[in-house]
Amino acid sequence: MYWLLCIVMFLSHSSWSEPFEVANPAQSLVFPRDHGEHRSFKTEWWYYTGHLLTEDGRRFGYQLTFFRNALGNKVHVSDRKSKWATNQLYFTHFAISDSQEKKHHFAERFSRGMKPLAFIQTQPFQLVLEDWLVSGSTPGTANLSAKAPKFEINLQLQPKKDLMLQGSNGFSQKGFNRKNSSHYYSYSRLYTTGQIKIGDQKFNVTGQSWMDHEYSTSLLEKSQRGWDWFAIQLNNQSELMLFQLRDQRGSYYYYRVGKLNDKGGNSKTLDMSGAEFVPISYFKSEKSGGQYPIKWKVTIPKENIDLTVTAIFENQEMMTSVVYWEGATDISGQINKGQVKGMGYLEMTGYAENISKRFE
Amino acid sequence: MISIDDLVVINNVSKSYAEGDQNRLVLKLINLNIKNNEIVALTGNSGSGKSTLLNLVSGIDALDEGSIKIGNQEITSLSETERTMFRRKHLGFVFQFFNLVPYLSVWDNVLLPLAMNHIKNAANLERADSLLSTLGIRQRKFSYPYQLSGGEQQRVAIARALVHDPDLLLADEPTGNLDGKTANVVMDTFRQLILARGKSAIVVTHSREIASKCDRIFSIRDNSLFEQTQ
Amino acid sequence: MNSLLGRLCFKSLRYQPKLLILLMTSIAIGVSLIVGMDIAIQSSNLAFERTTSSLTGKATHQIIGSGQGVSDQVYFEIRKITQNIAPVMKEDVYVVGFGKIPFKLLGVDPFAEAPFRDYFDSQYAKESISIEALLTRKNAVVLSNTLANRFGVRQGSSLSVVVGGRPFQLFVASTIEPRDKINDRFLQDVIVADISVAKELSNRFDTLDQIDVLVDRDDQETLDKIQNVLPKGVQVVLSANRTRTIREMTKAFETNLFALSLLALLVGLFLVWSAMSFSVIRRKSEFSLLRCMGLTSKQIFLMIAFQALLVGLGGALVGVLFGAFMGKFLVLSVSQTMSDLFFVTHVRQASWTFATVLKGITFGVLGSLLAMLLPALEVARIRPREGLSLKTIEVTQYGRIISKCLLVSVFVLLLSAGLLIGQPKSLMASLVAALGVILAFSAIIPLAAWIVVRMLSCIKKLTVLEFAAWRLLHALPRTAIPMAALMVSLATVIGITGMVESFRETVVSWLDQRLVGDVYITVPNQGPSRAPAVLDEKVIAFLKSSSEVSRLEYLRSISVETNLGPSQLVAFENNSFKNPKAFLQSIVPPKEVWKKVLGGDIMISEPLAFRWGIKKAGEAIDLLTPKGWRSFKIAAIYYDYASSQGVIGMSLSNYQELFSDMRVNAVAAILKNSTRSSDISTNSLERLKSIQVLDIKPNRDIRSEVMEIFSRTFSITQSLKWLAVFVAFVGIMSSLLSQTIENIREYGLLRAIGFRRGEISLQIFCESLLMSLIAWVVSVPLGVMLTYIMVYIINYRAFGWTLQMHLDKTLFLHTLLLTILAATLSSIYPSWKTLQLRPMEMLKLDQ
Repeated sequence: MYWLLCIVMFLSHSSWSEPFEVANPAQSLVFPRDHGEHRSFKTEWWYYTGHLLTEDGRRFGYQLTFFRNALGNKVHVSDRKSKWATNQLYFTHFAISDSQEKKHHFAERFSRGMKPLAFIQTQPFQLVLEDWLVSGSTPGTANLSAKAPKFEINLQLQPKKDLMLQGSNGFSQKGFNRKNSSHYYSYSRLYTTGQIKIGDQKFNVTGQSWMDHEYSTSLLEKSQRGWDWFAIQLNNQSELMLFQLRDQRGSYYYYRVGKLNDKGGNSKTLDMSGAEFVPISYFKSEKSGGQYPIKWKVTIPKENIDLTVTAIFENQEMMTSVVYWEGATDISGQINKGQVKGMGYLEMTGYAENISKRFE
Repeated sequence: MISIDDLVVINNVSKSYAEGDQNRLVLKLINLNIKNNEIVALTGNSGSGKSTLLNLVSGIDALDEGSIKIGNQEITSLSETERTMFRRKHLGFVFQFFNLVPYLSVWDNVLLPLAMNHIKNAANLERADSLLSTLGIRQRKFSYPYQLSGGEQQRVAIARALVHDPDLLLADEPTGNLDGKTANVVMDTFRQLILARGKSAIVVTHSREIASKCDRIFSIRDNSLFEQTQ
Repeated sequence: MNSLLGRLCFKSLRYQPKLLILLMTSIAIGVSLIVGMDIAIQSSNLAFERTTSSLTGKATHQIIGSGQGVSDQVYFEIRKITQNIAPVMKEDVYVVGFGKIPFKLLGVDPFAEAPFRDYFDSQYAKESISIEALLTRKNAVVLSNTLANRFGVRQGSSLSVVVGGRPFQLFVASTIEPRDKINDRFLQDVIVADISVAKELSNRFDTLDQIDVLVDRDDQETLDKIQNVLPKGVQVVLSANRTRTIREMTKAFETNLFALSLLALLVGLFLVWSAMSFSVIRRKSEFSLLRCMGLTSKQIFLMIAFQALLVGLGGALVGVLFGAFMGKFLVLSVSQTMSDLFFVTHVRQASWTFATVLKGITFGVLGSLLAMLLPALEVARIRPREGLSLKTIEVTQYGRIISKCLLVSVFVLLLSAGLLIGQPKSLMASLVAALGVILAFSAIIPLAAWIVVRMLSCIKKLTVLEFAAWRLLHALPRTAIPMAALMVSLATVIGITGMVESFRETVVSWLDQRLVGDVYITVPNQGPSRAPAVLDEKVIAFLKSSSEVSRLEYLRSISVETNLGPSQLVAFENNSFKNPKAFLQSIVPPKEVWKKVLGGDIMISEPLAFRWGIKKAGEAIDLLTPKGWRSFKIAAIYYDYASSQGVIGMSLSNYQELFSDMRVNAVAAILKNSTRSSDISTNSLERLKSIQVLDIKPNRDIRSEVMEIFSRTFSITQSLKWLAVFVAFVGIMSSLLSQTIENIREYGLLRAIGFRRGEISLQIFCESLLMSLIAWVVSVPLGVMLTYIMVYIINYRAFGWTLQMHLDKTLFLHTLLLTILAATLSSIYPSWKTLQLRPMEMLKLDQ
């Protein structure tokens, strides 16, 4: 997920690219080591999104994201004696989208990085922020549990495919400047079962999830306003990851990437020349003033991809400390002249007017 | 014998004072009628009771025996407060010393009785002004007592005593503090003003000359009252 | 009619400007003291309350441990139950170069703070605090701009401080500008840091001082869940309760200060009464005239009353203004004392409330009306024409005055005694009774005057003196009042000095008993209100290894929770209670008490017993230990002056076992060679400087320090004492002056018949001397009585301390000298006035 803009500018104006480590194309990812955290990089997240269905066919979308951010401009805090001393800030976003009620529930938690309050463990794999938890052997084979005042989630995930390295061998460049890049991999299809609870109602659900793990020190230029990111899971067992960066003037095209993971688990970087991501309809948020495109027409001519992305309902805006839109979508269209359908998660940032005020 | 034009009727009045553990008799069975428009002089040695009689007539003191009537009002039957109110309205005073309130101007001093009686209207103010004029001290209207001579102070006192048009004036040695010439002038003016307005007055005095300017002269001797023939 | 009276009133006041000034000034002085004192107290309390409530924030409950704080683990556990909790560390920080009153370091977790305290909110300050700044730097702190300016630092500077005796350099990560005054108030005393920094500075790594909790009042479920995970020794309390307890502590102190200021007002009122009395005589003729002309007695009375009202109001307003001014200076002094005795407060500004102003005005006006009551009645009784002739000689029925006053005196005395007996615990009652005793003795003055005069008449040769005495007696209605005023001031001097001396002597002898060591080692700037800092282990090791030391005795002082509220507990080793007089009460003979204490019982000090209403040893109280609630029997109640709140005493070995805490706050070293105590102190201080900044003092220095605190505490009292004397002295002089003016004709007569100037002056001096001596004579028994009341009753009821009364007889000599001085000085001006005039002028009437 690429919305670190907020975190970065919210917390520090200083030049943070050193002495933190910068993503290096020569660096290969090694597992299970790289499932854990990388404190020599400034920012990092483990991003879970997914689609869940009850037996009656009621549809939910969910998001559970663990973020890590290093404060200040040095990798290590100076010699401190107290356990409470840390420069790691962890925070989590948790949301459930209820398509039947057209209601979007969300919650945010912060904590300093300190055991046992908030920490990341590599083996066995654990993401912990108080009682919000992801644990398992790997991020893909894991149990998720989170409890907010009015909604809860408890899911078990199993990867249907191996993890997919994004970019080139896990080195993902985010713009024309090579310095802005990350190390990035995904589990694009995770079989999901479990329970969710909304208010007093409990639901047994099954579905599929998508997990991203990305870490970097510098991702964006100051001139960038936001981005749009699509994680698409098609019913032909293939997945697409697409994103574009928008510049300050709001014009869409700035930088586009796409990757396809086929049925067999082979990934291919897409040729995005001539591609168009066209917003069809909008949702205007009263709370933030942002105008979000909630229906898109995505065409990638060089890859014969022609898709329509439609949000399952309008208001899936996250009114958290940074405001963005993240929600479940329905996919329909054609790939290589064959009809396809699927489900996707869409993330749009930089639309709400108050984002820039965040950085004053 | 009481006749219709008697302003003051003093009938068998007696008064004693307690001195230590003894009672000293001051006045014994005094009888005196004062007519309308008449000035009466009261003489006698020190301690003879002249001031006492004046106190009784003005209602400042209460008598032991007898009765005093001023106009139609029986003074003796009144309560202390009622006597004070009566005094305020119907009597005027001139003393030998301490006639004026030191921190009020001449004008304010003269108007005091009007203020007390709530009759500070245009007519009365007019009268006050003309009184000052008649007494020849109008130009001292806004001076303070300490700025005036003895004679001037007495004249102010006279103006004050008359300003509220009382029926009876009581003067205790009004000229006692003045030199001979001034005393005569003041007394003459006093007499003129009183008689012109149809008032009556009782003047306590030592001076034969002053007493001679009055219509009748009485003296108190051995606790009793005697009239003197001129 | 009323407007006439009003006008007469105004004009007469204007006519006597000196009198007006005197009256207004007398009232103004008393009122200014009341107002000033009130402002000082209210400011301190307000500052404390605001800081406390800002520190408490919106927390509904607090989780606290007994003595040792709450383990971090508890916090982590509770966090699973509810997120509306926040960890808190509080530490005293002494900023180098900024005095002996510490500032509060507040250690918090910015991420948990939102529900509790606003200052991380952008609504609080013009900019929010940078969390990054707070978290990433070592010793990083945040200050308000006001505080930063005061210390002369900016963002990025370093600040030298001492925490727990250890020096540190704090890094000013950022400064904030509060949005409004209330928040600014809070930040004036407080330095904010991340909790990790607070832990490092205070050396308490695994515990928190408290956990703030925000729980809905109806949410018993959450509270129960929390209660279940609390270990023994930790409990949940309501925030409101804790703040209230602290406020109650200072009530007694406040009451005392208020009483003192009232006393000053009283003396001022005497002055007013006296001045009015004199003025009334002078205006007798005027009143007589008005009566003649027809004003009723009631109207004359109203006139005077109205005058009293005007004077009172005018004086009160001036007094309020002056008091506001004084308040500013008193604030520093009062808050210093409060910091010494009760709680730390850094108040720098005086804060006004409308209530204070109203208080001052009410007292001023009421006092004035009261003081003028008798003169007004007297005036109303003037018979018309009384003052209008020269013949009236006022024959003073002094016999009647004496007997009436005697009756009043006995009556008031009985009432006061009854009040004292009937309300054995009430401080207010004892102050009222003291006032009653003062008034009763004032009413004795006429009798005393008569006795003195009688005695003088037996001595045949002193004609001048006799003459003066006779005149005094006959002018009794006038002269009694200034005499009473002087008498009250003198008695006050005796009383207050006596009380302070008694206090001093009691404490000195107590210290003699209790200070067994030669050298004392503690962390500096400790006091009853401060959380004592712990001595570093290396320091202990050093002391143990020192060859000069024969024996070490340790002391631990912590705050514990009991079933009767929080209290300070002191654990010690030495049996300095060998003196049987050390105990008020014990369940076994004094010699056996320590054995009992070693066996597990506790002792409590007298003020604590008083506060908690424990009258007998043998009762038991419960203490919260890390092992849970335990019951302890009170083996004895002992005398102790170290703390006005009182302490629980326990043996150190028992404490260490129960609380699993081997730390100590103070060590007494008994040296092999006690004469070397000064040298050893200085050397050790040097050697240990790098480990911890310490106070290493020889025994006698401790004594002087304690005395210093006491004299600071009483400094206000002492100043008030002298003020009262000054006011009375002015009273004597003015009354003498008035008397002289009254008698001017008489003096003129004397001069005319052949008295020389010098003899007249001698007359005046004799009168003055007589008045002063009579005042002195009566002041002695009153002074002794006041000392008694203050030492045994007022102090006891205010603080629960038993003092030994100690009154130095030279004090009476001093006051006598003071009296003679007053007499001499006050007769100078009146004599001078008579010297100016020639006999004939004096015989003339003054109008």
